[in-house]
This record gives sequence, C-alpha cells and structure tokens, in this order.
Amino acid sequence: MTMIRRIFSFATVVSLLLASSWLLAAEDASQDVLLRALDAELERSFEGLKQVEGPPLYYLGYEARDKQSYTLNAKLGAIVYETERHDRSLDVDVRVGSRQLDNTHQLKGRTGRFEFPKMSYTELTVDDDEAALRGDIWKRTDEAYKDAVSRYTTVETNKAVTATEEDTSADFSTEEASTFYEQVPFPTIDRAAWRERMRRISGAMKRYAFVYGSQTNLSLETENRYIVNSEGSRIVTGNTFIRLTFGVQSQTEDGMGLHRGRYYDADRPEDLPAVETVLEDVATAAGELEALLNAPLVDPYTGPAIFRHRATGVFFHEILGHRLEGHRQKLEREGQTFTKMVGQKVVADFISVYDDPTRHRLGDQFLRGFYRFDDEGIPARRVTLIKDGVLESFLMSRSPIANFEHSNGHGRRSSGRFVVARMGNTIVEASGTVEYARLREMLIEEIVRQGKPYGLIFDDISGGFTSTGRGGTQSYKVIPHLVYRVYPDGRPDEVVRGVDIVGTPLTSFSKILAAADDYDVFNGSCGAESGWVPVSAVAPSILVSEIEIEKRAKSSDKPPILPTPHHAPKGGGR
Amino acid sequence: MKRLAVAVLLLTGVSAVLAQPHDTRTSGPSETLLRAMQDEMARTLEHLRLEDLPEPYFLAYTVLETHRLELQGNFGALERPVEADSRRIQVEVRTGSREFDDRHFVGSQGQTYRPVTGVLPVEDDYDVLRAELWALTDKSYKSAVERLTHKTVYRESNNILDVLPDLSEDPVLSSVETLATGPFEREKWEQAIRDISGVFRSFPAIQSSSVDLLWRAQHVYFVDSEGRSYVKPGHWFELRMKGAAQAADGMIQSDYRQLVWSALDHVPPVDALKAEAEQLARDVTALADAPKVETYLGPVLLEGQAAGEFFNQLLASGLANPREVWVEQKWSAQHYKTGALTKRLGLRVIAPIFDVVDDPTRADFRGRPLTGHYKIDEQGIPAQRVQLVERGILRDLLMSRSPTRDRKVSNGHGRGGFYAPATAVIGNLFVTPTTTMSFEKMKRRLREEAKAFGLSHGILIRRIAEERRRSRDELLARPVLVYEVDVETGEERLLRDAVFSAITLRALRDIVAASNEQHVYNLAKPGPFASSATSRASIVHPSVLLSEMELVETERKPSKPPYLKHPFFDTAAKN
Repeated sequence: MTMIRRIFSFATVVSLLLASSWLLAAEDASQDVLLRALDAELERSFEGLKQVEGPPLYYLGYEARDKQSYTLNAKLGAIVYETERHDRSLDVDVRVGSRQLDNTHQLKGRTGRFEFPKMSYTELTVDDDEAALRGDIWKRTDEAYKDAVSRYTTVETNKAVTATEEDTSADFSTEEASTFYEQVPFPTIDRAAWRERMRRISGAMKRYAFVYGSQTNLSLETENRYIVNSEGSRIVTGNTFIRLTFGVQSQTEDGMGLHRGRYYDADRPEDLPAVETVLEDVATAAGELEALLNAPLVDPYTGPAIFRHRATGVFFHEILGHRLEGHRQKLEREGQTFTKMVGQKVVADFISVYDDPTRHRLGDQFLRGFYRFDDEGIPARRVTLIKDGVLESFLMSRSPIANFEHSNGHGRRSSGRFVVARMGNTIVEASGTVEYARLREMLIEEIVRQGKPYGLIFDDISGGFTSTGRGGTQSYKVIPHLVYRVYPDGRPDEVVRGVDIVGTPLTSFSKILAAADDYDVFNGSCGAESGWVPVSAVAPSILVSEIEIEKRAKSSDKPPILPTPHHAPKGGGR
Repeated sequence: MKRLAVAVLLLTGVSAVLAQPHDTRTSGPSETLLRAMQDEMARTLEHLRLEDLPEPYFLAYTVLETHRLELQGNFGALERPVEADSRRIQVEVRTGSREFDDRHFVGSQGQTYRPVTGVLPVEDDYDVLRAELWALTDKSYKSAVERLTHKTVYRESNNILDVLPDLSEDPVLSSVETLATGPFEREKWEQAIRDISGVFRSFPAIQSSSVDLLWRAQHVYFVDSEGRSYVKPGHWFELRMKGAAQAADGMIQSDYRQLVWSALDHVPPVDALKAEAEQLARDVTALADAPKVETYLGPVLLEGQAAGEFFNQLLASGLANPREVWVEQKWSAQHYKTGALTKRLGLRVIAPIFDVVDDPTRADFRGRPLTGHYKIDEQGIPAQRVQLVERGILRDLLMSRSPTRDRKVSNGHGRGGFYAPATAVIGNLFVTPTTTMSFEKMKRRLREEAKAFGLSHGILIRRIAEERRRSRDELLARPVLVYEVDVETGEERLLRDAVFSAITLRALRDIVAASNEQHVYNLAKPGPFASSATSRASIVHPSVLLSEMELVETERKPSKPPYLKHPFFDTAAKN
C-alpha cells in the first residue's frame, strides 16, 4: 500500500539523517555552554545528594528548553503588535526510593494534577554564562530533591493506609541511555514583507459588515530541548513550529457566538501558503460565517453522519487517544476503558490506528506531533495501537504498566509538569476505502435505510474534551463549527448551527461503517495533566451509522448595537 | 553552539527595526488616534442606546502607548529580555446621571465597576482604531446598563436615602505635552543589568538574587465626553533588586529595592546602581549573621527610608480613596475600603508638630527630582496643591472626580486607574515638621527615653519593607534593618526576624520628635484597589522618633538549608 511504503522509506532517511548529524555535531556539543553547565551540575548534584541520609537518590534528570519566538499580529489592515522573545527554562526530575516504589508513585484519593508530583520550572539565563546557569540549576535541584524526599514519605504512608493496587508495576522502567546533538536554528523571515502580507490578509476582512471581530496572527517558535540525566543520556534536540492563523467572528440575534477561521502549520517559512491562497480562504470563511448567521438552529438528533477527515482526527484523538495513554491503565481513579481489552476487537476491522512522532509530514503538510526524543530522552517510536480493529498496545512513558514494561517514546510534558504518556501524530488508516463521493452516496443510503429525515456532515471542529475518570460519565464532547444537513431527496446541503456531538466511546466506536481515502491533517495542541503539547491527527472521512447531537450552550450576549464604524451610514447611526 | 550565538546576535541587532508603530516620542501626538477617539465618542453619544434602557451620559477613552524594555538579571547574566511596543485602551461608559450612575457599586457576583480594557494596533489606521473603540464601547455600555439596574435595586431594597453623587462638576481643559526619551540603548542597559546583578558574585552568603529593569516610555491619550482631552508623558524607569540569604538556624533573610524614576535623565550612573546592589548584598549578609530580636516595647527611631515607608503606609494610604463604595457581597468589602483617615476631617491624625501638603505640581525638591510630579491627573483635571494637615489636624482631602460627603469636587488627584477605577492617591506628599532637632540629638533622646523605660537599649530602624510586601492584616510591613542602640554607649547592633506588633494609626500621633533633614523618598505606590495600577509618588519627610512601638519575633518558620553549596562558591568542587 502506498502509505506504508512511504512511511518505510521516510524512516530510512530519518535514521540516516540522525546518524550523520550526530557525527557532525560532536564538536558543537563540546562548545555548548548550556550543555556543559547541565552536565557539570548534574554530576556534582548526583554525587553529592546520593550521600544524603534518607531514601536513596537513584535518578536525577534535567530537561532545559531554549525557546526563541516571534509573533506578528494584525487586524483589519494594521499591525496590532510585533514581539520577539528568547527564554530558557529548566525542569528537574528527581527519584528517590527504588525503581519499584519511588516518590512519583500515585497518591490515591487525590485528583488531577495533585496525584502527580508537584513540579515547577525555573527560568535560566539566555546568556551563555556557565556560572549563572549552574547557580540556577543547583537551586532548582536542591528544591526538587527536598520535594521528592518529602513526597516519598507521603507515598509510603498513602500506600500503607489504602487498599492494595490492582496493577503492581514498578514506578520507573529500565531504558538505554542516548546521545544526540542537533541544534535547530531559528528561521529568518523577511519581516517587512510579512507585515505587508498580514496587513493585506487582515484588511480583507474589513469588507464584511457582519464580521464583528477578527484576528490574524503569525507565530514562529523554535524550541531546543536539552536532556541530561544520571543514566548517561546527553541529548540536544529541537523543533520549529510556525503557525499562521486567521479568524472571523460574528454573533446571532439569539446570542450565539460564531467563528470561522483557518490554521496553517509548517516548520519552514517557505511552506506557508501564498497570500492569494489565504485571501481565498478568508473569502470562504466569511461566506461560511454569513451562512451560519442565517442558518437554522438544530434540534437534538440521533442518526447517520459523515465525519470529514479533520473531524475524524479529532474524534479519534478524544475517544481513543486519551484512553490509550499508558499511565491511565494503572491509575486507580481512571476509568480504564481499554485496559483489559488488549487482543480484543475494539473497532471495525478495516481500521488501524498508529501513533508516530517520527513522522514529519503527510505529503507536504507538516505534522505538529513530530519529535525525535520524548521529554524523558527516549527515542520516539511508531506505535501500533490498533491493528485491523484489534487493540495491540498503549502509549508509554517510562511508567510501566501490566504487560508493558518499557517506554515507547511517548513521555511528554510542558514546562513545570510531571511527564505522562501523550499522543504525538495519531494516524488513522483504513483499508477497503472508497472515494469521498461514494461515501456520500452511502450516507444517503443509510439515511433511507434508517428512515431518518436527514443525515449530517461534520465538516470542521475546534477540538473537544473528554473525561476519562472513574467518577465521571466516561463521555466525550467534540465541538463542531461547520455542520451540514444532508437530505436524501437531492436538496442541496444545508448549514445548521448550535450543534454539539455527545456520546460514550465504546458505543460510538462500534458504529463506523466505512471510510474514504481522502486523508487530511488536524494540527493542534493537546492539554492534559502534563500540560500542553503539540499534536496532530491524520485520518480519512468516515461514515458512522449513529451519532448523537445536542444543543450547544450559548451565551446571552447581544450583538453590538451600532454597526462597525467603517460600515456605518454617514452620520454614524444604525 | 557558535551557530546559535550568531543567530542570537543578529536578532538583537534587528530588533530596533520592528513594526512601524506611531512613536509619540519622536513624531508628536498621533492626530489619527485622537480623531478616532473623538469620532467614535461622538457617534456613541449620539446613537448608542438599547431600546428603552438608559443611555450613556458620560464616556472616557484612555490609551496607553508604550515602548517597553524589560530585562532580568541574575548573577551576572540576562533572563528573558523583552522589548516591545503596545497600545492599550481603557473605555469607561457611564449610564444614569451625575447624581446617580452605575459606579461605586460592586454587585453580588463581585462584578466591579472597573473600566473595560483592550488592545489597539500600534499602527495608525483610523478604521481599525475606531473598530476597536466601537467593540469595547459596546461591551462597556452593556455592562454599565446592567450594573445601573442592580445598583438601583440595591438602593431600593436597602432603603438607602443618603446618596452621594457619582461624578463631580469640574473644569474642562485640553492639553498636549510630549516628552522625547532619546534612543533606548538596549545593549547598554543589558550590559548594565549584567554588571549590577554580577555584584552578587562577591557575596557568598547570598543564595538567590536578581536585578530587574523595567523601562516604559509611555504617552497617555485621553478624551472624555465633557470636552476634556490631553496627551501627556508617563515615562517610568524602574529597577528592582532582591537578595536572600539564610541564617544558621534556617531563617531566610531577604531584602528588596524598588527604585523609580520618571525620566531617563534622572537615573543615576551605573556605578551608583551597582553600589546600591552592593549595599543590599551587605545588608542581607549581615542579617544572616545577626542575632534574633527579642520582644521590645519602647521608643523607636525611624531613620530615612524607614520613616518614608512609615508615612507611606500609615499616612498616605490612610488618606487615599475617600469615597465609599456600596458592596453587596460581604467578602468583597475588604477590597474597597476607604482610607482609614478620610473620615477624620477636623480631627487630629498626626502629632501636632506636622503640617502635611500634597503638591503634584512640584517637579523637584532642593534639586532632587520628585517622581510624584504631574500636571494633569488621569481624569484630565489639573493637579492642585492641597493643604491636608495643619498642626496635626486634618483640614482637607485628596480628591478624584468621585464626590464625598465633605468634598464635592476634584483637586486633581485621580490616579491608579487602568484595570481599576481611578481614585484619589498622593502625588508629592510633603510632611513638614514645625519643630526639629538634629539627628544626633534624636539619637541621644532615644537613649534617654529608653533608659526612662528601664531598658538597656533603644531601637533604631533604617529600613521597612515596601507596602506591597504587607500581609493582609498588617498595617505596616515588617522592619528589615533593626538596630538595638545601647543606652549607655550608643553602640549599634543589628537584629533579625522582627515584626511590628499592635500597630494602629495611633502611631502617627506617637511621634515626639522630627529631624531637621528632609529626605526625598521616591516610590512606586500600589493603588488602593488590588487591581489598581501603581502610581509614581514622592514623600518628602524627616526622620522621626516615636515614643512607643512594639516589636516581636516573627512567626515565620525556618527552611532547610541547601544540601550542597552554590557551585560558584564551592571551591572544593571546582575543577
């Protein structure tokens, strides 16, 4: 299959690149002051703190981030602001006790972030000044060590006074150390040219009287991560994230806020679309917004639907992705929907799901979940989560679970959080696919078969959220922004508004009937206990036999009283 | 690594050529911005109303145009440098009438009457500026209408008959004043911050330290619906320093500096700033070695900055915010209290040897610049000299445009606005004693009084922590540099870990002597409301002797010292 061949050859290229850049960069590594400071302080701290009385220190790890960013924001033809930043921060991971039971063990009876160790990050100087760097590293290490020791005492007590856990896996896996050095440079762009483009793009929104709010934003960010630990890992790895976005908003008389917009993600400035393309998209978005303003409110409904590719991606991210994060399989307060289902069929047998952070692009489209090493210094790996409908594996950090002893390079976090298993590039692949036109026909057939008045097409969503806890409803919510009603009698599709999709994961999963071959990418950011991480979801359009929708909660804000000033009649009034 | 270093240098070089914002410092006032503000205001007044609901009767737009440079220094190196241009807009829409409008009321959900704020483009585009003003005005009007309804219901259901007007009648004028600053010299300041923060490398007892620069070159644009308008400079150059060490018993010792100037020319040379950092480091190091304070009740001499903060936290704060606010939620009330002295017109508020005047029109005192100087307050009213206290008796109040029972018009002290409602705050406060003595004589008097108390020593305090370091229930922040003075020999010994006990406003009346020196204390005064902007202020004052104050040991707990030594000072481990 073309897809698989493409992945294979790409993987070969990547490993070649990795090897060569490592060889070339040995010299750069020795000149890297930040790396030297981390290394020197880690050795001194590890040796020194190992000798302290109390639970033994068996692991010390540093993750420093060097981040450069540039933002250009425009509105209605003028630059609103332009800023650039250079920041460095440090996270320190300390483990005392033993691999089997250490200070990071779950504290039962707590929820959310509080069951994980309290973390905080420290700022580091952006100067290459070893003395100043080592001073800050030392201070944070001392604080993290003290926190670890005191939490270990709490862990021991908590374990003694609460019921025995079902999953008795260790707290920390054994893994090999890695060495790698690649500094990613911050891209340069022609700022004057971009200011002009941003003025043009944002200015194009001016002509629409019904657009009450709008934004146009360009951001460039390069983050180089330095991972140094007491097991001997020495890694410098970087990513660039470039995002151009625009949005237009309006408000209906009945108080519903409406939004349309586009995101363009890349890791190279030259991959951003030409202004003409964006201007076309602005016109399309404004047209959609106008259609939504005039669209009827939808009523609660259950029936067949098509999820367009990007919507499918979000759907799988929310229903499946979070529930396959490794740590949830052993946390006592989690719902553990899939924990005992390894080897069983969980979805239609023509669907497979992978998570592959080593994947850089889909065709020309950059994937935000791309990375070489996770935040624990483990090399990223392609993981087969579901193969032909059968659950095979979970996303793993270095926190082992029953039957899965090792990390598969999915331990991630944002600064100041404890690492847990997270998604990267979640890829839904279908076999036996049809063309999208055929999928539409199948939808109509299903509408008729079920005797429903219409079916739905979910065209665009802004992401959603899901609750995986045991105390909650195990439900998810995905928030569609553009939904069409499809009639079996050949009427044109009709935009509707005010829709929220609801449901429970296992039920929705069993109702996927078919898939198209029109893969596309949803690039976004995913938030969970370990903070916000960049991710993507790649999927084709799918046909689902039954989806449930409810009315979306809305504010009661009235639209603005006067027209926008540049659309007001002369004399200013309404 | 070389590659990255070059990339960083390129970026800082290019940063001078960011967006083409309007720069009032060099180009004068932006006619486009003023026109957009006036035009949208005119349209609003003429057309903005919701069916049969109350229409706006007063509008004010305030725009802060800022070029800012923020540098953080740590042990000789820089953290998170930022240089950026911004424009922020504040919109105030009032409904009702001057006699009763939607202000001075906080509803049951804690909804306050602070103005609505947003962001404006830094580029002068008339249409975009008006579009932003329009959107915020709409939002502000709708919440004002709702608030007026709640306030009316509150008045009726509580049967309140005694109602103060909400907006005074004040003179209308316009003015334009701009102030150039010269180039920002970013590289120079980056190096300065490295040098100043690098001072701490000579002080091994200091475990953590920082030196932060905040340089805001700002112009403020204001237009209101009664015809006032102004453009005025609001430059702000601030240096914050911090150092902390640990005593042998684990008690953390720390001190801070917050130094403020209103113009770049007023900032002392870098060597003087380094000396300030060195003094801070020496003080904190000495504190770590000092013995703990023991409970003390007796005369206290407040010298220099200690007297300045004493007057700031008791007198200046006591005179701020004279207008009562109706607060529906009991737990919110603590955030809207009026200054404790504002109800004492005609009564003694301080020892009778003092006259107190607030005069923002003064730009300097005996050659030293006063940062509390301004000509027009935030509400567009000219600053006035106010004779607050005569011979210890309160004769007048600081006033903004919020009328009080005893004073009905503004005297140009409306400040601290932006993110919070403007209210009366000091400008330049002159605390002038009518009888004085030399500082040496005051020290002798301290010893005499202490001896009369039967004590072996008196207490001399040279530094009190800044106002924003107060905990919620404190009237006066902790003393930082406390010295016991032997009654026989006059020898001084530094003590640590003291806090004031049982301080009330009475302490102002317990002053028995004042020195003949006049100190100038330039400070960043936090606003009365939690979200108030900080105002530049000055207090000109003597050192003072109080007949009686109580100090006790703090209840703060010690911390574990670090397990390893700071790497820079760990000579054993150096390879």
